[in-house]
Amino acid sequence: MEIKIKLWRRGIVVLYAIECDGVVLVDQFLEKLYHLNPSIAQQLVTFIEYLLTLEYISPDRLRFEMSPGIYAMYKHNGILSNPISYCPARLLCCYLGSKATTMLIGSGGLKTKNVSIQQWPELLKDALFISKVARQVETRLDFGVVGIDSSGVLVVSDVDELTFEL
Amino acid sequence: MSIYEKILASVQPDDRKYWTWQHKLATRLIEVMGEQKLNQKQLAEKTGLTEAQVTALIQSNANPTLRVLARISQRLGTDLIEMNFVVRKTQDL
Repeated sequence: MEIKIKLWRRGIVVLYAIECDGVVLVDQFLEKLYHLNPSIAQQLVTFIEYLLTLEYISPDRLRFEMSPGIYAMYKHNGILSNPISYCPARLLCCYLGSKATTMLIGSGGLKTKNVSIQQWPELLKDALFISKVARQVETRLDFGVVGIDSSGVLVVSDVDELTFEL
Repeated sequence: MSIYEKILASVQPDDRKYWTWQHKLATRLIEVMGEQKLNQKQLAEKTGLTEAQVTALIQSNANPTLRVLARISQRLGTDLIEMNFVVRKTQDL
């Protein structure tokens, strides 16, 4: 799998478009999100438009993964209520960032509290995918569940404590 | 037209205004928290809100009443929003 990171800029906002095997996923992410829940997709673009009006962005405002919208998408995918359901949309992740702060959007597959990620081949695949992406953009995944330590290792916290060697 | 632009164009103007107001309120609240060095729990205690309500405000997921906004502003000692209602003179009504 070949992964490239392409910057998609709108003013001070940067979306890191993820090109996976020649397919740019940021558009797919927005399109898929719009298909799953138009209102949430509309809120996302409205939020980005709002960010463009700010002179600065508080890092707290970029905790987008905690927003009800994205979280609703997790639920839509059945991650918590029905962990059997697997939605490829979870692979359609992108980054929303500004200046030194970059956030991951749409990686709900890693956010499970009930099932070990190792028991989920799909989740493990997602985790490795995201870790590769994170390494390429030299950033950390900061949504309270997954982080990249200084050596570039993906660390899943919360209930599961796992380290993935790249 | 990109997908982003298509989605943006599909947003109803009143929805966009509403969500933007939510973002502005959240941003202002976070600013005040920083200025007064309050965490969410302390903010909840100071304003009489539940932590869940504070979280909802910060996540742009709340639709507080004017009364709630007034209480928060009063207890924090700073206005979260500027209310510039357009009031016409009597003869204009």
